[in-house]
Amino acid sequence: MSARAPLPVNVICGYLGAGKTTLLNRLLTESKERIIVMVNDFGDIAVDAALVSARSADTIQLSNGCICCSMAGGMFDAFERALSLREAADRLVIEASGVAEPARLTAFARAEPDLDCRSVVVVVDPFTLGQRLQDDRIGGVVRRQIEGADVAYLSRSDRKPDEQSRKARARVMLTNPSSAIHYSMGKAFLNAMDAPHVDMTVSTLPGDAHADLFSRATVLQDDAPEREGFLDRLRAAALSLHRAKGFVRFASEDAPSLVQLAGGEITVCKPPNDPGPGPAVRLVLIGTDDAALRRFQSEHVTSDPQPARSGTI
Amino acid sequence: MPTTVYSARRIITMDPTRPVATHVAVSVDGTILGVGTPNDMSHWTDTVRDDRFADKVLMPGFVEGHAHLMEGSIWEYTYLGHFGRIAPDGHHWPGVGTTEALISRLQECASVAPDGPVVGWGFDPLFVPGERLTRQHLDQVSQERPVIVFHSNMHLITANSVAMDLAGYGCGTDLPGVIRNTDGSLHGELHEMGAMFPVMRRIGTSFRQLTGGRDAIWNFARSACRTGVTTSTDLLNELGDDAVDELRSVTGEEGFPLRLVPMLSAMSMPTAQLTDRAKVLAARSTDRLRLGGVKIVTDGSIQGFTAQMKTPGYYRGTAQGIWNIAPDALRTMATYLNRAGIQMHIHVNGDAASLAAIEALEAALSEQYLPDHRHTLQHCQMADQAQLRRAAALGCCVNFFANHLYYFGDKHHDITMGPERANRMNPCRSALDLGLPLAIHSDAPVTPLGPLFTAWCAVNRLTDSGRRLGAAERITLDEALHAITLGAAFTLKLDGEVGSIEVGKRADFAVLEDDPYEMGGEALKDVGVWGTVSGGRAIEAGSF
Ligand SMILES: [Zn+2]
Ligand SMILES: [Zn+2]
Repeated sequence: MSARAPLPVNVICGYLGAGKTTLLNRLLTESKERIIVMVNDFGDIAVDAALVSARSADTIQLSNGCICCSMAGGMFDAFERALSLREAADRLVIEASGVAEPARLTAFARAEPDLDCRSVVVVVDPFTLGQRLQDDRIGGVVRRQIEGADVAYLSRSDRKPDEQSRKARARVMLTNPSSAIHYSMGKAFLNAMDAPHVDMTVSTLPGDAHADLFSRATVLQDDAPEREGFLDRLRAAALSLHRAKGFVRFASEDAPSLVQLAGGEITVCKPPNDPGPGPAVRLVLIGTDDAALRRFQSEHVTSDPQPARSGTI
Repeated sequence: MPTTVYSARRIITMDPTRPVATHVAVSVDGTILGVGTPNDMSHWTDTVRDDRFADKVLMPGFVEGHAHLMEGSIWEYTYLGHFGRIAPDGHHWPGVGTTEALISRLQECASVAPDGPVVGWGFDPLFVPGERLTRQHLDQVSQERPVIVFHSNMHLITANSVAMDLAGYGCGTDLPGVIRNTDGSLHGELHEMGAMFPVMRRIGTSFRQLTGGRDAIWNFARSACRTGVTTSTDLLNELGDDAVDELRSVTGEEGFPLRLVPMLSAMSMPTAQLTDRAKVLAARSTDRLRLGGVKIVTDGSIQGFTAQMKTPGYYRGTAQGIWNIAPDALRTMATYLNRAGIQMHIHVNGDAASLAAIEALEAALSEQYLPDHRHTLQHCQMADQAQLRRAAALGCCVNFFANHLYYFGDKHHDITMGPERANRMNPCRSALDLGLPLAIHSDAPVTPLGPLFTAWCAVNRLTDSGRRLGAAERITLDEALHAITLGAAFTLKLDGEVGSIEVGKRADFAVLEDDPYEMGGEALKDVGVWGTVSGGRAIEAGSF
């Protein structure tokens, strides 16, 4: 609709009190860009909308208006508004509500040609993550927020990482091994925010019941695999995989590569940002053939899936 | 100034001290002055006798405790639903049973307007046999103009090739919600707002248009009049100053026949500002516009698999539901609002959501006792007995979605909830036995506005296919009529003004062609509606 380049969009998600607003405010302070902020956190009390608006190009209230589930109408209006402000802004940052499913927000940014979906950041409070994940009311949404993110930001860990943040890191990695984990908002983090979002969701027709058939598997391996052998195994599994994404440090290589599989095509490239230390193989797979997923998983020495043990990673 | 004395075949007052009457005296400003026999009317000397209802039955004007103004605006598009439905202008649109019928109805509507997008609504593929509606089907409607069809849940559309092109969707498109065939070509379905947005934006169809405007408000009043409704909520509105000005001016127009009760969306501003805003709004109320209530939405819908369900979750499928507000935040919000004395209407569909709301209200009311708060659980379709007991102990009201039993009952039985929980849905009998103030609703436009039909659902609990869901949860005709009058008025704190025909209350009546008691509960949905009397003025359906 406009000749201008599409507007870069970041989604910042994370449960209540994880530190989203603190991160956002620091981003506004440190960034040289003109940022439109979309706030969807009104249920959460804590948001200081005045502070946000003092620093940004514009603030859009992402409120709810759809009759049956209430989310959709408000999002619609908010994105229209953001696009109407395109000329005045370099970036749109969406602070999602504490219970927002990031996939619902990134769907806009990915589908709309005038938007350019960049990294989804999940802000994680290391001190409460374990408890949140086990809460049967909100554990599911907290897990999906981590699964849907490209970058995990562990708040309150600027100082020396302690036992809590090491545990949280292991939990995040186990939930989404393909996310880059950051502890501070330095240059590496800002670079990571600028990378394109990689979607790991699936769309199917309702009634096909395909959505139920998709499974997700995590592969973590401490030892670096041989490049050719690993890619051969991935290629062999490609037909039964819908998507794969993650970081692999191949044997005799210093830096990890970003490995992705989509539409049957495997790409291996330099990661847009440093994924940080971790197992040599950190991969998440999505596919309809559960047996194939497990076969690929078993071909790799997976780390113990208990987060407690992974705390030592 | 003369007092009007209306006579009727029968007046069902809902006033226990005088359940039936034949005459009602109404002052010129629309207040009920007397109810009773011809003799009881002799007190007034300067009277005009009005016998136009001599062969009709009067009831208190019906109160719809949960509907949306969108019912008035959605008819801008062409209706394509499975169930026959009456538009605000009175046109009866038969249900669409086949893809061919859908295509020809859209072709017809395309031929009426020479250009621009062709838009349909209300479509539900589950009711149409054969191949699911595709892009190619809609290409038969037009290959030059965009054609889109909203599914009944408003979360899906099917679009033709022109519309897909506008959004830049093509054969190679791999996006969430953009559905493809096995060969990679576009199917035509777009799921959820993200995927729908680029298409809707480019053809100028926005949800904003569907939430207000003078025509929509008047259309809503037209539908209300057809169904005997004289008071209705608009149960989720951001109520910005412009919207309030518009509502005040339109409802204030000469002859506007409805009391409208919009509820402020709790998500429209930070919680700390909500209480002030609700009070400002309350002060802007008029006779026909009642402001001050707040609506909170916690989860999604059962048929959309977005309601929050406790274990064991959905009967079929692995859906997890969504939260629109975190349970912790709900608790804080409820505490704030309750402390400020503001009444809350809380949307809860699944039983995990109703539990979260009950816990939040329990915390709020423990912190500050609020006499006669009337906090209302809206929909509350899956609440179990233990939750109902807690809600009763807290003094909450429930407004059940009785129409779901008919429109979605079979789907709940077979797919979403399974037999046991489908039988316990919208348990009106249990609520009344526990002493919970009860209302029942349509959630129009999700299902059609029509309190008599809604009451029929609560009395009979029959699904579309004729299956009876949870016979033990049926209520009597008396109880159902109470729920659509005084019961609903109570949840809006308007039971002192409307909901029964009593001296001193507003002269808001539903004018019926038939007597519900002669027809009986099984035929309640077939009771004819002539129109309404609103604030003393008789208004025939279709006359405006
Ligand atoms: Zn909805
Ligand atoms: Zn509703």
